[in-house]
Amino acid sequence: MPTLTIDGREITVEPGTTVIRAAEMLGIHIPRYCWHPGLSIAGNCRICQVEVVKPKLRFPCTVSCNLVASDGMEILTDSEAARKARADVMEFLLLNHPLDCPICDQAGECLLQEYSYAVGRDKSRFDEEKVHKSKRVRFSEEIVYDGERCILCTRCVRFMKEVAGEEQLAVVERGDHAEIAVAYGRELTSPYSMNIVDLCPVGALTSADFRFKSRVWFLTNVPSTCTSCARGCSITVGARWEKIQRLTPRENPDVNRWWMCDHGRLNWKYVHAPDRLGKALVKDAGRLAPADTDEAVRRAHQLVNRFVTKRGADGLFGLVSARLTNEEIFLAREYLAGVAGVKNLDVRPRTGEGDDFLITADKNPNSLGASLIGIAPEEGAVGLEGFAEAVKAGRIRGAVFFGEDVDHDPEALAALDSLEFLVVMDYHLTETARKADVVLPGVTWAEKEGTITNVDGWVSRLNRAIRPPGEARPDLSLLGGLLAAARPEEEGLDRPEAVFEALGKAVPAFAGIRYADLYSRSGRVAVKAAAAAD
Amino acid sequence: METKMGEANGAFPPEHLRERFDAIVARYPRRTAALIPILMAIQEEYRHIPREHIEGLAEYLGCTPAHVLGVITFYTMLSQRKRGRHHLYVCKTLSCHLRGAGEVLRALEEKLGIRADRGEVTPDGEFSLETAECLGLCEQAPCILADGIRFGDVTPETVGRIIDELKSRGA
Ligand code: SF4
Ligand code: SF4
Ligand code: FES
Repeated sequence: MPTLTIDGREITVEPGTTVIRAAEMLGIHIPRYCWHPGLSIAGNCRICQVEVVKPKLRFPCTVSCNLVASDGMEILTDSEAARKARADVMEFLLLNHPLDCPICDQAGECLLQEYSYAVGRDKSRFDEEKVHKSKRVRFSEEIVYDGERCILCTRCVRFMKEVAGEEQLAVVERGDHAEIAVAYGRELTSPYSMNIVDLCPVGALTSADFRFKSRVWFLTNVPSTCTSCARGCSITVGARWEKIQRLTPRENPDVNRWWMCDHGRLNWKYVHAPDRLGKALVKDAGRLAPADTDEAVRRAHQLVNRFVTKRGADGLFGLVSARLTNEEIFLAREYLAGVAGVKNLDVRPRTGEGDDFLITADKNPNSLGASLIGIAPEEGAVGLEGFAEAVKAGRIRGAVFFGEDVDHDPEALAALDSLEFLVVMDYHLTETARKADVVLPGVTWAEKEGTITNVDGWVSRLNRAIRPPGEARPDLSLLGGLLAAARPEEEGLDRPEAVFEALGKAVPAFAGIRYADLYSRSGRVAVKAAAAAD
Repeated sequence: METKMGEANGAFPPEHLRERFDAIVARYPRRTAALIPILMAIQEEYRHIPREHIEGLAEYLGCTPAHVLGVITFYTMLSQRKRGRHHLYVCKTLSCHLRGAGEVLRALEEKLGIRADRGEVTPDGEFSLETAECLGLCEQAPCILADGIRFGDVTPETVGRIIDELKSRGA
């Protein structure tokens, strides 16, 4: 294994490791435009030049992204020669660049700005007319291309070919006329296309959805997890004015590497929909009326308690969403099975199309968590499938829906009318919730903290990015309230970290994972980790 | 896919060229390697690369339309604009430029009544003009390449003869 020194620091690397990667391992950042760890090496931008002291080359500097480390190699990343080489590259790259940073979406996270700041000139020596190229070309409904800002690094071209698997982009023309293009009459069709917006190191590719919404430096960036399918891609939520502005993928080697799908990226509008619940609702003389949240929680427990005392738990059905967090599902189970003794427990499955990359056919983000924690009808008990039937037969007479609805199923929806009571916790007013006696105002993934377990058993964190509307509360606190009402003598349990710890004690699969470790990396549930080790 | 414009109707390969293209493809270990020779054959046949052929060609060779477009636009001998039966490249690189290529080009433009920078073709479809980077004939600057024939030491006075010669050879 070759040992080399970079800026005087020694490192031993696997044979074949490039200098830019070796530097990365030492925490030394070498500038790059065309190189990306998830793509093949193109070596076209030349910004990653370093000084090679040993072995002696014909020129002092060469590109580090395509330089394989060798034994005894000595590299300087920040010497005068290296800085000069990069400064020259910068000058070339900016010759025809429009420098329209004040109206460019990339400003603030642009690598041209970044490396200009490091080695650039304060004034251009070029006083000819700049070359003009295509502006505002739609590569798809969601992606806008600016040929003048493009530095032709080909990251986007390589992503489409190597990761998305469709060579839908190409460099057309050549020299200073070169641009990136799609073929005539075509557009990008991959469900992963928007990753090229993040990949583009400059402002050439922008998201139609996010363009001109906010300067990026005013965004609050919160690490979180996509809940649009069971992959649970790691994401960063960019929020401002208590509104989501954009979602971008966050690197996670175990789950999604650097990518996410376009659907997940754009599927947040419902968080700000007008049907959000900002207040608890309690049925009064046949109509739902706003109520105090604590009062509504007490009322909900009262309904459950009275029903169980009078009729026993066999007539009660509990629907717990596999969109809820592990902690919420755990408390929901504690309450429904533990306190009330309900055996008729189920989730509502959601399926759609999946692929062999990231998108899963299971559209519930936490199906595995729900099944590990034990949300499933016990032997002989009523599940969601038999629910309407069981209501008709008089077997089920009361129901509690946590974070879930049956709006998709007219029969189940109609059956709700014959129940003695229905408690619903949700973040918006569904058709199901309209039929409830008590509606508890929960929140969406963007307004709460917790964990979800993805299809492969990776447990990832959600973090609160924005404030919930009105008096809505994180579902965990509502569930904690129900438990507290049922067991007033016990210490309350509604902090995610404490609940996760309790979950680890109750469900062995979660035992090895520490909540605090999940902030930046996913942990794996024991059953899946064991299966993967086999 | 667009199917207007040009003589080509989009079906690929066009019936009368199928055998020729299949033979070209057979010369290479991978189908995609035949891309440039086939584009040159199309250029020869239609005097340009009809846009309607891009999708079909990509499918025929097992690559994508974007890739084909990238190759077409990279090489100046491939043109998406229809050229004349005789296409003249006038070298404009340094040696030719210093020895009067500019005057030669102007004389040609005047004589033919077309402009090189606009990609124009004479109304009878016979001639078109284009400036070119070094044609490798610097010792005979200024020079012209047309119909595969090199013409050296050209002057504004001799361009007429070149045109006559090209005409007499036919297309
Ligand atoms: S559009 Fe962006 S990613 Fe694509 S080549 Fe240009 S600069 Fe690179
Ligand atoms: S693959 Fe699934 S988890 Fe990942 S971004 Fe898409 S919808 Fe979200
Ligand atoms: S990052 Fe090395 S040449 Fe572009």
